[in-house]
Amino acid sequence: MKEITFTIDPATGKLTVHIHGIKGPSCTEYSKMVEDYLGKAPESENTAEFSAKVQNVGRVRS
Amino acid sequence: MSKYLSFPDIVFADKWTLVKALHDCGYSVVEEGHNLPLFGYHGDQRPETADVVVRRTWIGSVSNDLGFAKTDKGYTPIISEYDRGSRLGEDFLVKLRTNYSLRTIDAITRRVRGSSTRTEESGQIKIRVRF
Repeated sequence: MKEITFTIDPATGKLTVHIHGIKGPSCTEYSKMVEDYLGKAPESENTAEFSAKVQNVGRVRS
Repeated sequence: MSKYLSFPDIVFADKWTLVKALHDCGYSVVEEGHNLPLFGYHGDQRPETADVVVRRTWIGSVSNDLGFAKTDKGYTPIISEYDRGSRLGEDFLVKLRTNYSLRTIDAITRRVRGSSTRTEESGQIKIRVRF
């Protein structure tokens, strides 16, 4: 399951974002969604999931 | 005459979300336009202009207009030094940023058709959106 964790520091109102469970660079799509609201890219880290290649499994017809 | 302070490092990229966040802060009447004049508490027009404005009427009897000017990245606040220290409060921008963040999270949750849970951890507000 995909997850986005938002952390708000109540002392400053600052928002940080962490994206989980999305393999490959497609997590950039969600980062861009957040950037549209924040005006700048959120603080995030690219975990091993970001570097994982997404495998396309072809359909097999019998 | 209280001077206006600008905060170029604080950016609210989405105008609709900013307006909603201002509502959440208790300012239900928000004017939108382009290069709107700002007025001080004497009714004097100030040299600064803004594109989203809360008129002083809605802030307090001796307040100045509150403005947000459009920049390349979004809307940045223009607040009178007096109001920041009194009527609005020193933590007004913190409250506004927090409300803006919460509205942003709501909007993203709807866009991804996810569900969210909110907790507090080490004094921080954590909202997890699963989809």
